[in-house]
Amino acid sequence: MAATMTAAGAAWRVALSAREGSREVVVATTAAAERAGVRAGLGVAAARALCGALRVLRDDPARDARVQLRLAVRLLRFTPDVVVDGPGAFLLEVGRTAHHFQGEEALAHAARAFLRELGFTARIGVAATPEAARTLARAPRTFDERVDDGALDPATGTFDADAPAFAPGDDPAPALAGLPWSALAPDREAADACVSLGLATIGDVLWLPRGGLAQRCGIPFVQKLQRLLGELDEPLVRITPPELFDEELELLDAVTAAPALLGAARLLFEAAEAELERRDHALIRATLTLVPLGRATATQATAPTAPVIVLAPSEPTRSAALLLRLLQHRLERERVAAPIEKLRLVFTATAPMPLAQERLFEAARDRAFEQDAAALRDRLAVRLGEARVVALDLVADHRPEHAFRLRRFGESAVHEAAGSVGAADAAASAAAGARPLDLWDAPRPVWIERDDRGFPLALRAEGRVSRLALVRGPERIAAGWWDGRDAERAYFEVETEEGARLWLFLDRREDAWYQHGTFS
Amino acid sequence: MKAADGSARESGARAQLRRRVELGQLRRALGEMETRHRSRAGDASARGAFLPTGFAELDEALGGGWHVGALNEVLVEGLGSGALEAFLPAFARAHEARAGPAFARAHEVRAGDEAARPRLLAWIHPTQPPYPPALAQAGFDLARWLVVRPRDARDQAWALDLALRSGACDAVVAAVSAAHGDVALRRLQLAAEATGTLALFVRPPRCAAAPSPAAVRLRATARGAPPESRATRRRLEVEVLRCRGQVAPSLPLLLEWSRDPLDEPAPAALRARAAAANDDRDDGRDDDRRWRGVARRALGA
Repeated sequence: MAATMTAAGAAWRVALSAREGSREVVVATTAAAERAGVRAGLGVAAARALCGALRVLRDDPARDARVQLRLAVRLLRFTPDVVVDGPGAFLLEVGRTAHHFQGEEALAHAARAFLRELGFTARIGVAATPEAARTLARAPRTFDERVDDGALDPATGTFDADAPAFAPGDDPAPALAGLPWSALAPDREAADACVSLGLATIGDVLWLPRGGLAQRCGIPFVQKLQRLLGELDEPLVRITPPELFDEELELLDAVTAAPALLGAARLLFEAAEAELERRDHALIRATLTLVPLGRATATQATAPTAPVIVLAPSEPTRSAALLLRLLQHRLERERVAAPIEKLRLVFTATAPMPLAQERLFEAARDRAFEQDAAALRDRLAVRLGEARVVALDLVADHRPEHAFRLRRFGESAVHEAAGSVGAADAAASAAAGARPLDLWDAPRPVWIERDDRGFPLALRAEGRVSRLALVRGPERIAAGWWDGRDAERAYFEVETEEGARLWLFLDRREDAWYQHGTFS
Repeated sequence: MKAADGSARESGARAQLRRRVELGQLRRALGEMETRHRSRAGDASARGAFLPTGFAELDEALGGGWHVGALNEVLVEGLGSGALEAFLPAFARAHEARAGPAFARAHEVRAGDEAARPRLLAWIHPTQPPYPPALAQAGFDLARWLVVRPRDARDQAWALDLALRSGACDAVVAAVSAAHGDVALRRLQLAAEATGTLALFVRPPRCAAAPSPAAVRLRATARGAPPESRATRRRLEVEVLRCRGQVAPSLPLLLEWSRDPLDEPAPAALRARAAAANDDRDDGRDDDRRWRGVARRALGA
């Protein structure tokens, strides 16, 4: 399948300019600008005079190539074999994947709709060989074909000039025979020869003996015909998608308003979703940079700083809608100071998507709740900070203060920490003696009177002495020699005269008493 | 001159009267609105969505247990009283309160499995997260806990409101200081009502004087366990200060629970224990309090 692309951008009046000698001239325009009278070849100053709202961008082949490569990556949803076929053109090997889309025709229409959604108009040709597909994509849709191909849109009754063209079967020749030979994009020599021979269609060209044709039109043209018919193989280099997701989106008008930014970000997020789907990964963390107007051209000193928004969903996700909601919460709180002209989305952490199988049946029921829960976590984290909205994990460690972990929701259970223990091990830790619900970050030194066995007898605090009754203890804990924070303690649960229960320990190396929490 | 003065005074009195009448009308309208709202949202006692506390006598005093879709306040004196240890384990089953027909009626959901799927349990506390090993010992699935540590009372009020309003939580547990005013709490009460979320607020005892829209208000005081069972049992005195739809019992309850699943005395033994507990008090060692009885938590229910 071959596709040639033109960017639509119909609503904006935009022209691309390039330097021609000493003049800056327009080389391409959008349809809207063309309606205002702007034509290729016009000087930029004249074009501006014709159309006040015209936005002129420098033609930048390197940028076009980048955009094309990104587009190619997104076309990977249709087939793993995508070839960038010169500026503005792609080749897709769809023979092996068409059945997933209910046939080649349906796939071609789906690809066209997909590209249209992204703002590109694609002319698509489907044929058995790359050259034939290219020729079909290039060929004008003639009147006869309108009827044959169903290019006449039955709904609107209008002629669809860009309808996909098909050459069914293994031999593309019959479908191509009726097309004008100009669709082959012959070089100058071949075109002159075809004219002088009085040929009209590709059929006429194919009918001629190859030897004579090679003499008149040159060997490259004959080779092209051979590739067209599949007699000669064509080497193609398929694209390899980049490891790191890093996409930019330039806005045609610099914006500050949140809705406009969200609209633009949606395109990026959808690209991200497609990319994650392709990799079978889920997003843990990404950064979105809002590049303000003039940043690209200004010197470093005067350049306005580009706000960077870190997007860290509470659970690994692919959903563009969820990322968009997250960004919306952020934009509600952070004002965009300068007009933004470019958005850049970079993945900083992704993880393989957990197997969906185990969730198959619960998914439908849980989805609404999961979304509620994720939205709640995200909203809390946006205002309070990620470190203040956490989940609880158990860690297998004998030192009470190391027996748990406050886990940020971003670092999900997908990356199970080495020391984390599951629910089964929780039962085992329950046997280790009662633990207080209220454990203090830092144990506080207390003044304890002890009996002759060394057990706590009374607590001296604020000038008062409170008798203690031993509930449990001692529970001896010696651990941590391996990380330098070793502890050798004897824990006691005691009850005060008021009935309150405290968790005390005797640090056996310092021979000092501490309170580590309360059974609240 | 005199007549004019009199008419002025008369019209002043009339204006005052009119104001009083208007004020009375306003009050009545407000009261009607409130009752209408109550009957629509259904107050907890009417709809009967309760979460059993685990102590049968306390459930009885509260009309069925913690009020689902409402604020439940526990005023606790000091640290280490054991109030959380007594009350928290029941919250592991908070989702089950959603399954009943009463909840379905009040919140227009279909009764059954779907409503009763476990949701989040939120712990919203400025400083201290609950100690996870203790939660695991109390039988909680830690994955259900969402721990939020707001910076100050304002952030806490905001986080509480969000959590109660989201409908993503079965229960929200928070230490709520006296800094939260009546208006803020009323807002939270409405949020809890709207989503049928259970809110348990642990508050300092000086909040008892402040007005609060909470459906349930208890005062919990630590009580020492008898020496012979100290190693396995704990006791807590609970006074029902207010319970919507119930007459608050005059005498406080003595709750007793065990950490040892094998330690399960027969009801007769419990009655004897209640008498003994009161007898303990009779000898006048501490004060002259009497309890209605000893409520014991059924373990492994």
